[in-house]
Amino acid sequence: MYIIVGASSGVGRAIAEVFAANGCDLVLVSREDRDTHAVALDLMLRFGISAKSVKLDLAASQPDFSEILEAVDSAGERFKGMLVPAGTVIETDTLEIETSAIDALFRVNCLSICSLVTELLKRTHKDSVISLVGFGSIASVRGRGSNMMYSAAKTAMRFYFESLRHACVDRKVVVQFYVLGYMDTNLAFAYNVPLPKGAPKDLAQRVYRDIRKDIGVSFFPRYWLIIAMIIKLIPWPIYKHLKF
Amino acid sequence: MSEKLIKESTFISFDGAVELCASHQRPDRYRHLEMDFGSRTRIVRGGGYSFSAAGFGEQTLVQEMNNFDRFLDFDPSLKTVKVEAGMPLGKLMDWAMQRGLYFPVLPGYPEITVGGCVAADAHGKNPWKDGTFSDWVVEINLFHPTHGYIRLSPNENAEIFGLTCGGFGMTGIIVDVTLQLVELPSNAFEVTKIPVASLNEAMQKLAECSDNADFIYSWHDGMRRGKTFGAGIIFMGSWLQGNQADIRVCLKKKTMTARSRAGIRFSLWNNATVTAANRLFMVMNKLNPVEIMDVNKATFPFAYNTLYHRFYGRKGFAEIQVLVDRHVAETFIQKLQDLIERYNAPLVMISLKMFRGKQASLSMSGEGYLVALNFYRNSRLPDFLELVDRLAVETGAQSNLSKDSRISKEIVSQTLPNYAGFKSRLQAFDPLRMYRSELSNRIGV
Repeated sequence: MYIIVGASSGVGRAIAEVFAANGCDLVLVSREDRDTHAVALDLMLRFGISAKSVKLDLAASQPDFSEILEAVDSAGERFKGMLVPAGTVIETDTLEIETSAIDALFRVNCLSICSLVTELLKRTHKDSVISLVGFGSIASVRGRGSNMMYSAAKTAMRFYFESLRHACVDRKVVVQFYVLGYMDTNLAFAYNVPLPKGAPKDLAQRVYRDIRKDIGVSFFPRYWLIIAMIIKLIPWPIYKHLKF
Repeated sequence: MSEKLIKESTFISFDGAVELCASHQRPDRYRHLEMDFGSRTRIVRGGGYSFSAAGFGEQTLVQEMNNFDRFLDFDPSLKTVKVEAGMPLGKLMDWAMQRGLYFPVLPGYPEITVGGCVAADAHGKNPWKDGTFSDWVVEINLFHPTHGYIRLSPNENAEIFGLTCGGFGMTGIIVDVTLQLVELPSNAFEVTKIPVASLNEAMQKLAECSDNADFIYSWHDGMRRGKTFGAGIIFMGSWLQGNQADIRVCLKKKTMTARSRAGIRFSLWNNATVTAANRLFMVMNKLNPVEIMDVNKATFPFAYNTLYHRFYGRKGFAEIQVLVDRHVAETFIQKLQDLIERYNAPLVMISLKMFRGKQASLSMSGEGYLVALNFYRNSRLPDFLELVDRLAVETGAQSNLSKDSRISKEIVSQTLPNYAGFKSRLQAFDPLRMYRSELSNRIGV
C-alpha cells in the first residue's frame, strides 16, 4: 500500500495510476476530496485494487493526519511508502505577496509535509521497508525574483529530504527527491515555457521503476540536471538581468 | 489561492475549414468546472473530432474535458457504467471488452469522447438497428452555472435530457454519463463485402439487410460518372460465432488529432489520385470478399487508416451528411447524380447507411438513408455545396450538423424539424445563452 499526497490531479494522479496499474493499493490524499474520490473509484474499477480517498488540507495550521496514520497502522507490513507530489503556486508570489499567502505556500510546499513524514516515521518500525518520495521544482535551483516563496519552500523541502536520507541511513527507508522541470499539468498550462514540458505519465513510470532504489536526488526530465548546473554557474552580473 | 488556468490557444475543426484563436481552460478538478466566469460565453470541448466547430468559437472560453476521463461506477448486474464525459470511446471499449461487454453505438474514432457523442447524438455503423448514442444513455449529470448540477434521464428532467442529447454542448457541461452496455458476442466480426453497381442497388441491399446485420454501410467511388456512377461496396458485418483465436483485440495507441490531420501542407487528393485510390480500394475488397476483422478495426476503421484524412492536407475536406426519407431517396439520388455530373464536383466518396433516430434537439430525427458525401476542396466546391443544400431543402433531407462546418442558419432552419423548438426551449432553459460555439453562432441558436 502506498500513500500519495496530492493525488487529485496532475503528477499525483499520474503516479496513482501507474502504481495502481502495477497492483498497488493506495491511499489518495488531497484537499480536493471530490477529485481524489473520483480517482479512487476509477482506479478500483480499472485495476481491481483497493483505493481510499482522504481529505487533507496541507495549508491548515494544524493539519489532521489521523486518517492517514490509521491507514498506515492498518496496513502494517503492507505499507510500502509515501509519495508527496503535492504543491501549489500563486500568481502573486512576488515582492507584493500577502504575508498570509507566504504562510500557506510554506505549509503546502514544505512544512506540513515535513510534519507528516515525521509522524509517519514515528509509527513505522525501524526495520520497515518503505520509500519516501518528495517532489520539488527546478524553480529552487537558484534564487530568482518570480515565485520567490514557492522556490524557497521547495528548496527547504529538498534540503529536508536530503537530510532525511542521511538520517535514515540506519533504517530500511529509501528516501528520494525528484526535482521537476516544466510538467504538462495545470500548474504550467497557461505559461509559455522555453523548453518542452515533461509528461506526468513518464515521470510516474520512472518513479515506480525506481521506487526502491537509493537514487537520492534526481531530475526529471533528466536534462534539467545540466541546465541546473549551468544556471548555478552563471555569474551574478549576467544572472541579475535574466527574467524567468 | 489563485492559479493561472487560462491561456490563448488556436483551435481547428477536424475538417480543417475553421481555425480560430480562443481562450482555453483545461480543468482537472471539479472546482475548475464550477469557476465563476460571470457572463463570459463558454463551450465544452471533448476530443475535437467534430468536423464542424462545435467545441470552440470566437470570444468563447473553451473548457477542455480531457482530464475528466474516469470510470465512476459499474453495475455488473444491470451492465451499466458511469463515466466522466471526457472518457474516450476507445478507453471505454478496452475496459468493457475485458469484462465481456460492449457499447453498441460507436462513431469512427476511438479518441471521440462520451460527452461529445451525447452532444452530437452520434451514431455508429448500424443506426437502423441500434439507434443513436442517446438511446443507450441511462443518465447524464449536467452542470450549468445557473442551475448547478442536474440529473437528466428519459424519466427525470426529460426535457433537458432531450435538449442535451444532440444539443452540441449548448445546455452546459456534461460532467458524467451512465451508459447501458451489452454483452460482447465475440472478439471479431465476419465482414462480407458485396459489390454494388449503383446507389439504388446499395439502398435496396441496405433495406434488405439492415434489420439483421450487426453493422452495415456502403462505400461508393466518388469519381465514377455515367453508367458506373455509384459503383461501390457494401460492408456487412456479423459477430463471429465464438472468439477468433488468433485475433489480438487491441487498440491503436493514438489516432490523429484535428491538428495532426492538417499536418501535410498540400492536399494529395485530386481527380487522378482519388480515382487511383478508389480503384485500388475496390479491387482489394473484391479480392477479399469475406474478412475476419477484430472488433476495434471494424468499429474504428479510420483509426487504422489515417492516411485517408491526412491526405486532404491543411486545406482539409468537406463533408455533407443528410438523412433522406426512404420515400424520396431515389429522387434525391437521381438529382444528386445530375448535380455531380453537371458540375464535376470534387467528390471523393459517398457512403450510405440506414438510419432511425428520434430526438427533440439539433440531431437528425426520423427514418431513412444517411447519405454522406466527402469532397476535397477546390474553387468550385462552395457553390456546389450550396446546390446540395438546395436539394436537401427541396427533398426534406435533414443535415448532420457535426459533419458540415459551413451549413448556414437558413438551411438548418429549413432542414432540421426541431430547430425552432430547440431554440425556444434552450432560450427558456438558459436565457443568457452562456454556452456557444462557432457552430451555434453560425446556425443562429
